[in-house]
Amino acid sequence: MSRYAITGNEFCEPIELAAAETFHMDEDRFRAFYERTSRPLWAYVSRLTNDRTAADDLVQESYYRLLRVKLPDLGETHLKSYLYRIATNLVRDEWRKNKGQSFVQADVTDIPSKARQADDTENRTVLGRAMERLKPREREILWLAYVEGSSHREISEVSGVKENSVRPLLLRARRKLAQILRGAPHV
Amino acid sequence: MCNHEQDVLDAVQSGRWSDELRQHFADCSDCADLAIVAGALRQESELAMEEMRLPSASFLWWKSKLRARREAEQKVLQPVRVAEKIALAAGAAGAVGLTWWLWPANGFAMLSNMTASLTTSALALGTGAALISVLGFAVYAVIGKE
Repeated sequence: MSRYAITGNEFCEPIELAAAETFHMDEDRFRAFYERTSRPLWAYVSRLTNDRTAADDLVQESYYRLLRVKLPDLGETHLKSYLYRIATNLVRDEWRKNKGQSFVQADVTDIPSKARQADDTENRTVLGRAMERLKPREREILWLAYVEGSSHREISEVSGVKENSVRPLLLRARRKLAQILRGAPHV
Repeated sequence: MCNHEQDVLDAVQSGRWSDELRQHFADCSDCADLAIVAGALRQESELAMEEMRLPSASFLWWKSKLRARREAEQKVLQPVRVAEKIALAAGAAGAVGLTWWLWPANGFAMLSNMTASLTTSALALGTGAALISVLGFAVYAVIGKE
């Protein structure tokens, strides 16, 4: 098979070569990185959007953009921060497209697995509704801090908030969510 | 923020709460908030990770390569598409121009002597089309090299 998309056309570049040069990591490294990061990333995006279908698309798009971007040889932590930043920006773009309206309410009865228990479903519904009452940025930083265990610096890198603003924002968001959860039956 | 926050996070993680920490909640609303929020978020995260239905890494890699190649092809073919549009627009403009040029001079003659006029028109249009093709190819060559 020719390396050229249009055989004999002197104006065309070798397309396969151009495509191969676009990724900054090889398949083995990508596979290992994906295995470590895809589940937590999907959880993050699905809970920010409250829409599993959107989360599927946004997570796949995030990995594609990560592969295509020209990066220096970053360590695992920085690469993960970069991935989360891409995903966060994509989620924000979706919010803007939807004119600030939240994503479709997830169908909490559609949970495939052994974890489908009444208590879990009830808690998820409560938390899902509570999260919807937070601002998008509040959801982001709470998740990054208490699920991902990110430092204030990492939260700053991902969310674009100044590092010294993370602490007060986090405290405020935490109080707000705790108040909502305490009053959960009325949420 | 309270100094016991890390202890609370550790307890949320492990599920082991000391009596000292439980007593501390009564006096510290920040830690009580943290316990509620971190506990709920972690529980949510565990459930979410069980729900994940993303494709395998190999499939995503293959799909990404395919998409990158398609985008590279589109980039390479973009000058050709531009040249095609320019040639089409030039052809249409040439046809209109020729019609306008021929009509006033030969209008009545064309009506009275249709065959001669059509021959003239066909020759003129053929010449015009040939010129436009050469022009289109030249434009494509220039854009393609860029």
